[in-house]
This record gives sequence, C-alpha cells and structure tokens, in this order.
Amino acid sequence: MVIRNAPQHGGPPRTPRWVVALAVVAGLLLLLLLAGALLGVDHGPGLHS
Amino acid sequence: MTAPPVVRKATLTLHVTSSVGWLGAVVVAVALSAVVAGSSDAQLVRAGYLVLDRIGWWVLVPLAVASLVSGVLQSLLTPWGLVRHWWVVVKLVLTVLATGVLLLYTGTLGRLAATARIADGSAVPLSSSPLVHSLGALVVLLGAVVLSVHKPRGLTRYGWRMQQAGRAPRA
Repeated sequence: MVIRNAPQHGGPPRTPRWVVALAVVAGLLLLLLLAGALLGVDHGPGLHS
Repeated sequence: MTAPPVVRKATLTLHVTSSVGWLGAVVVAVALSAVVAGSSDAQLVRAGYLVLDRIGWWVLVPLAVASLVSGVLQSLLTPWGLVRHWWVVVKLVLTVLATGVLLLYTGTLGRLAATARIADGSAVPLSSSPLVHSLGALVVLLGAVVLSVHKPRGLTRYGWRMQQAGRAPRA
C-alpha cells in the first residue's frame, strides 16, 4: 500500500500534490497577468490607485 | 500555545461569523455588479456604483479584516498552528490575497462612485470590472471554505519537525 505524503526514509514529508497543483495554477495566473501587463492590457493594481 | 476552550470558542465564533458574512457580502456584490454590468438604465447604474462603494468600505473590508485576524488568532491559539499544516497555510495565503486585492479595489470602486455622483442623471460608463473582481473573490472564498471543511492532510516541514519533537522521549 502506498501512503501519500509519507516521510521519505524518516525525513520530512513531501509537499502534497494538491498544494503543488494549486501552486501551478497560481503561477499560471500570475504569468497571465504579467503577459497582459506586457501586452498593454489594462488591468492591475496600477488602475486601482 | 493552546488557549483555554472559552477563548478558542470565542475566536472560532468570530472567525466563522465574519467569514460567512464576507462570503454573503461577496454574493451580494456579484448580484449587484451583474445588474450594473447588464443594465442600460443610467439611474440604476449610478445607484449600483454608489452602493458597491458603500458595501466595499462598510461591509466587505471590515469583514475581510475580521476574518483574517480571527483566523490567524484561531490558528495560533489551537494545536493547528499557523504554518504546521498545508491547508492552513494555503487558506492564509488565499485570505491575505483576497483582502489585499479588496483593499486595492476600493480605490476603483471609489472612482466609479465619484463618476456616478458627478454624472447626475446623465449616462455613466458601464464597467464589467466589479463583476469580474467579485466573481474572482467568490471563487477564492469558496476555495477557503472547501479547505476549512475538508482539512486535507499534509504537514509542512515545520509541522513535521514540531510533531517529531513532540514524540521524542524526554530525559
């Protein structure tokens, strides 16, 4: 039986998959916002001031 | 540090109340923004912008700050800790992000309300921005609710070290 996020040889547990997946989604959203800013799409904190 | 049960229950009550209130206020903002974005009635749009501005400062911001502060207190006063479990860390990041964007966005709501005040009967510019931002907030807050209810397993390195230290035999 495979235990998810089990410690590796007594070491600390791995980062859970759902956290990695959320981090990837957050990174993609950030890239999208950065790409939008570079392409001149009007959005971001600059517009909120 | 673990607080007495009466303190933990008080902070939990404050956290649940403020978080549920924040979510409900965001749903109201979504509905109001949808009405504003899809309306051709200038008076309705003006009223919508003015109400959204008031909801932002008088309801959304206080509830968001109360939810964030009570959540941090709740984690510090219970064995969950602030950075021991991944679900707590992710929920904290989501709440800080949502509160930060909300605080920034109050500026936009203020500008839309100022435009609506000046327009006085004439047409005001339509904007889908409040709808997009309130829908984004709704998704983020629903994510936080899912994390709170399911509490997915997963210790951080710090949480694991604390757990190991707690298990170590004492001399």
